[in-house]
Amino acid sequence: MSATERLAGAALGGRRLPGALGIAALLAAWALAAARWPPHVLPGPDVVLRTVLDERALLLHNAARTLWRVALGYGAAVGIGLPLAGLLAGSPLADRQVGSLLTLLRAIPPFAWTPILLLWLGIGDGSAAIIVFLGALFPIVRQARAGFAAVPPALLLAARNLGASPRIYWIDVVLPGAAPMVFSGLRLGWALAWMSVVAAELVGADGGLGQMILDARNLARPDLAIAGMVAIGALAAASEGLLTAAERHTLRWRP
Amino acid sequence: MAPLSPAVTRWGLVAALLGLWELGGRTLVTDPRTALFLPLPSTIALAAAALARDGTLLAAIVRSAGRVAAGAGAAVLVGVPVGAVIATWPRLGAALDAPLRLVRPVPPVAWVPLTLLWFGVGERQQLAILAFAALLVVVAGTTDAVAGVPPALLSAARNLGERRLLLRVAVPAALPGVAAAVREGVGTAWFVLVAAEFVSASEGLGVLILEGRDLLEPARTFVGMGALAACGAVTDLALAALQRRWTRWT
Repeated sequence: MSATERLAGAALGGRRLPGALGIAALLAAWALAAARWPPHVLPGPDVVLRTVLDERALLLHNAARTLWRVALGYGAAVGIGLPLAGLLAGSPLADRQVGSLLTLLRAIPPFAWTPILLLWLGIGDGSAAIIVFLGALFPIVRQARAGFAAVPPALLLAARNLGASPRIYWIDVVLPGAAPMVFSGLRLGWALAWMSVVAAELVGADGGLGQMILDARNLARPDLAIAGMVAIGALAAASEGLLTAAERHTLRWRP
Repeated sequence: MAPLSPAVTRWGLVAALLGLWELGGRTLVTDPRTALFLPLPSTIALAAAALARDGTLLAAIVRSAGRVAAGAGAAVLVGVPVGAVIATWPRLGAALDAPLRLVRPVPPVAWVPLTLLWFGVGERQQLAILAFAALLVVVAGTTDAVAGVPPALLSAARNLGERRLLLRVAVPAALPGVAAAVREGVGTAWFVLVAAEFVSASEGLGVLILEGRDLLEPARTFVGMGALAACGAVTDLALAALQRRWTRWT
């Protein structure tokens, strides 16, 4: 273990205890507050934990719906966003033309499309997936475009002059050079995808965690609403962790 | 070939798409029911003019902008000090930061149902959700900004005999980052506003957008979406101008 690592470890240890105390204080404050208010307003952590266990079938069912919508929309955003970013980085004309279109569209919050999409497509996975797509697309394109533009021109010229095939040029030279920014866009897009799916499901969807927590409010079941929020947070955090691990694995050649 | 003018190379595609939409709508869509669902750009422009003339649009903008200003304002008042504390005192900071980390993966819009249960339908619920969404962003940004002040800068100033270290050195050094955090917080509030207004509000741009669907007047929906985008963009440009003015030395 190097000196820096030991120092970092000590700093972590120094922060871990206060951090645990902070979380304990939050839970204690929640439990105290729950003792003062009736359970249909604020249930305690124990009640929520029991709800998570009792309603796990419902939670899993709705989580699967939500995950499917996120996967559809995010997959489309990556599949369209990365090539689009490559096009924008490669062609100044496309950059100006499509760039101004994207600037206009980006200003509209993705959830604002919900009513018109519901009108066009009706309630279903399609509307929610398109909202997710719109939420994730813009950060992915913006960051990836910046990443492609940041690849050192000397590398590109060298690859070209050495006769790199298009496959080698894009896969072995351009993508690795752009990868750190591409990943940053993928992570930003992922966070927005989760936000968008919840918003879309709140406004109108057939099932899903967002719909479930709104139903829980209408049934005056805050325990179920909090259980749903816990599920959303856990899924978002776990998937974000997977993304970070993939990033670290892909970028392990970096110093 | 003469070079195209900058306006053409920048907005040509947008203009062409709008033109295609208008022309295609006029020539291809003959079924009045389909036309009802897909308003033409000219229909949207007329609807915008009508909504602007009878004051509906302005009332909605004022209502929504007021919510954003109040929610984001509260978030800045609370979030900047909290972020500064987290960055300055490691132990207290860790105690405050850990619960925030636990809460952060939950998208702010997911708090809408719970805040409805706690505050009921009304202005307080709208402010609560906007303030909370902006708060998370402002705290995170301020923490990064204050933690990013180079320690060498502080010790150099101390060794050179500067007494008012905080006011003359630390605050100016952190200000650009804090300003960026405030800007991001306001942007988040505009973003979350629609979702909050969709679920429960009696007036505002989100309500205008939703009414378009309920009244089968999609032109109204598009006007609302355009106004929302314009409001968010104008606020961001104004804040960016302020940011440049106040951090001119960077």
